[in-house]
Amino acid sequence: MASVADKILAHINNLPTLPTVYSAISEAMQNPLVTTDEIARIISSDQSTAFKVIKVANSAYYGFTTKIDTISNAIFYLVFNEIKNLVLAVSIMNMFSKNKLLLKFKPVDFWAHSIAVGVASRLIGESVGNINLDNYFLAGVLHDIGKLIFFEYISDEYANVLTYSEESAVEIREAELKILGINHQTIGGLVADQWKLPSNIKNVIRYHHNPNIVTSADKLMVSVIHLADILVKSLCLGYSGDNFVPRPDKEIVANLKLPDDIFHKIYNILVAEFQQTSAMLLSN
Amino acid sequence: MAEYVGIDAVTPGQKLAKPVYNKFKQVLLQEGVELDEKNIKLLKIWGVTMVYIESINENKVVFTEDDIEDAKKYVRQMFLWEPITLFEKSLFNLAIEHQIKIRNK
Repeated sequence: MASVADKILAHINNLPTLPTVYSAISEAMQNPLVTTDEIARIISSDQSTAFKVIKVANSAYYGFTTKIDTISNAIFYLVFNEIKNLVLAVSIMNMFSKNKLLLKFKPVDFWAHSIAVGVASRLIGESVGNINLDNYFLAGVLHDIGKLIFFEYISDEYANVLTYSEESAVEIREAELKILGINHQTIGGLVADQWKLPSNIKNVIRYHHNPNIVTSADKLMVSVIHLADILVKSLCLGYSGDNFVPRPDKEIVANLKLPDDIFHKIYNILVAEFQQTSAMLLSN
Repeated sequence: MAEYVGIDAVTPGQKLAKPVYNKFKQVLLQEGVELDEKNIKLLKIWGVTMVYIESINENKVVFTEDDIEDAKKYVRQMFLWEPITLFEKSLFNLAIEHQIKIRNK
């Protein structure tokens, strides 16, 4: 009889590919001479994605002071990579069921948590003086993608995980290991491989609960998302299926040299940007 | 709480909760600046359409001891570990403050 891990791995091998619009943008961006018009044309071929990109480009999250009303304008202000990331985030959100419910776990709350982690990651990234925040939002949005795979493909077994976590008062990643023999970081990592996501995003997905394992240049991003996830869980912004707040890794906190009150400092902006960005990305 | 509002809704006396930048990411006005008619007009001339302002009502909410105890109890259930360092205590306290705020909205 196939184990749960085997069952889920079979699903991963048959996961849908990333949407055409994302692949087309990635391919076009390989060409250093690609024009704004060309990228705008590709995004505009998917009207629903284009509409959300424009809405998010106008959100508080990006803080632009002038109104962005066309895809060409959005590309001008957001630079190509950020546009590509937004398209990917919107596309992946659209790939999964929206209305399914598993005990208290709902996709809309899951994505709200993920968006909040994306917003918090950028704010914490700024606080540690990182000027290159490319991919931080996307990494935050995708960090728990493994949970959604469990939710989508083995929902009965995952209901047992959620129940065990709550009744035994253990974090969900421990419950996953206990019940399924594999956790969302590992599964998410395999999905990220399948989708050929950038290496820093793969590392975030695989190690956001154990950032000290990472030794590459990606460690900063993984560390920031580790803390962003903990902050967002503490504030109950969205719901990731986990009822418990993990402890921040002491070594990571020391290495980042963050002030003790960093979370208080970014709180107001985090809540305001989270509310606006999630409302835009999660609206139909 | 900070509020993100249209420039036309801003009134003199309100304070910026976040710096205002131009499209080149240069700071036009710093966080904490109290807006007056002159700089609101300047922001409009510069093409600024939205700004963060400090909410004028944020300090007016009164919490009871019961509100605080309920929030503490709720947050303690989410933390399976005892906050020890200043960093951890700050996180824990923020979680309580947030619970109090959302319960009083």
